[in-house]
Amino acid sequence: MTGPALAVRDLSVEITGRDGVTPVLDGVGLALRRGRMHGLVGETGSGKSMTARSIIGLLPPGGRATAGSVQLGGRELLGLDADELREMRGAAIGMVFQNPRTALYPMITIETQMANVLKAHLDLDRRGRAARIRERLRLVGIDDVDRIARSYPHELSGGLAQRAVIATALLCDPEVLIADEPTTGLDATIQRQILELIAFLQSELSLSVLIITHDLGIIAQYCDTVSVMHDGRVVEDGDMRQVLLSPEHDYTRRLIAASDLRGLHAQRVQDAGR
Amino acid sequence: MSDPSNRGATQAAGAVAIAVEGLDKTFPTRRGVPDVVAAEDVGFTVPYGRTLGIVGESGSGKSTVARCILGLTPVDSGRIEVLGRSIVDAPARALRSWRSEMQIVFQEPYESLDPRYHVWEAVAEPLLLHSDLRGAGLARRVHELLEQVALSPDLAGRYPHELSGGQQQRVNIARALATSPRVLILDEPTASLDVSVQEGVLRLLLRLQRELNLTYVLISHDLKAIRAVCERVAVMYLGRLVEIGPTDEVLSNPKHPYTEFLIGAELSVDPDVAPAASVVRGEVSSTERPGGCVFTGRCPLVTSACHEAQPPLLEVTHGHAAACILVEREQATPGLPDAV
Repeated sequence: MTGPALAVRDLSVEITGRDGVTPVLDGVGLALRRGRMHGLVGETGSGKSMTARSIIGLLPPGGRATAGSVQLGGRELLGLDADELREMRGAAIGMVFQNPRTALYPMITIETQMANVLKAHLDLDRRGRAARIRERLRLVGIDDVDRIARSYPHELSGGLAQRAVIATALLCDPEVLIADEPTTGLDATIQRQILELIAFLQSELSLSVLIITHDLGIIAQYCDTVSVMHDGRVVEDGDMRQVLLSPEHDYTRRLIAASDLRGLHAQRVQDAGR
Repeated sequence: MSDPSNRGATQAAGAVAIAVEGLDKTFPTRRGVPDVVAAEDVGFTVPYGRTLGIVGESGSGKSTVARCILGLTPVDSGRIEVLGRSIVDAPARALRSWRSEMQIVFQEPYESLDPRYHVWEAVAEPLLLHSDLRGAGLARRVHELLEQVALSPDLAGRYPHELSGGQQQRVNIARALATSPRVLILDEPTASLDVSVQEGVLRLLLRLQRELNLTYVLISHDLKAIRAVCERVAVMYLGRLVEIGPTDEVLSNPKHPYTEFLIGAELSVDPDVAPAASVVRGEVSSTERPGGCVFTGRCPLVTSACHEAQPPLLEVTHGHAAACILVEREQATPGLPDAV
């Protein structure tokens, strides 16, 4: 198949609330190429998470796409009804969110929640489901799969919980994985493990990955292409190296400069010399 | 409140504002689970007007150490002196009165503020508690504090939820400064802020330090922030101080494998600066603390000797020390070049 795995074109979204209508996305476009990793980077309120939520049809109450299109492998997603969207989420698109503990139900074991996803999407018997769950847990680098499958979310460390979430997202062999701040709140060494895992899965399964982050370091080290968002718009996009090494938009330049705090470090060293 | 005219007298060059020695703190857990060792034999000093960064992952004990310095958490043993006063055995009453001189700024700017107080009230509150300022004098001081943290007086009537994260944190800093402290503990002050806002807040903290000769302890998991702000850095792992020294020296020439890992895990915004190829295995677990060196569970260089005893902090070069058996061995074989 040709064409991008996921394409967003001219997407505009507004939210109707108590204070009237607020536009949150203004003509957003992005293309996720097959088997690649695309980064969507921006700060609070830039619209990056709203873009992700529009793609999977999970806009907040009062949210509405007023224009544009979202196509998954050529199929239009805007305008799908609730059942069709549910079918697509978890099957064609896997999702990983920031806090693994809130993504998992606290009251049931990892195995039960993974089995529930399988029951909703695939026609497998009990043994088939158990085998599938263990195979996916192994895929995300978990060794003692039986113990982890029997665990409740609170019994897992942050890193293990996020691995379980990723395994769940991959249960139905999605073509696209959307990861919204998948490592925010995790320790640096664990963050690195999870990112390496996502990169491994991307190449192993030929996944197309859309990663949403505030962290330009993740973009620079893991993404093929990038869209920089600010105020509900994509201000700059393209090849990652091109954008980060020769940014054209002033906002991109400011974001890069602020990210490594190099100016501040230089100033401290200079002050110390006085 | 401290008498500003008295400040110079206590601050001979290099004089120590904070001294911690042999600090131990263990938190009991429920039966059957080993106690959590938040601090074990932790020691360091911070000279007046300087910044020590404490870096480490969750469970490293960095926040506990900060709370012990302020007397907010009682220690099991050890010595802590802040501004020449012993914190460890101080009566609660004394601690309360000293607290105006040692303040803390927390990570969550919104949660640290009372949602019912607007900016002016929030900044005035510590002054009403700790000073005799009232009326016009109070208003003048509040105005001055807002100016110090670069908050427009137009925001004085705003409530916390009407402010951005950066503005909220400036209000918290203004509150911390209200009682003219000399020591400020900064516990992940920018961790929940956007990068562009983070830089502004760190720049503000540096300026305030210069203007007011403040002594900082900056707790952070972010090496970029540590590098930008701190002259010295202490690296903690499972309650142990594993390395300490001048920031640029420690981060460019780390002597403990854990420090090396932390640096290796950093993701540069420059695509041409790749992180370390090797990825640290495992996770920190406060309830599965190994015997011997605390890092044995995850260290790639671990030897059988590492399980026997926790290596002491040994000085590598002037002011730079690390607690690793490799450093111990290097020093036991004099004559070897430093750069082995």
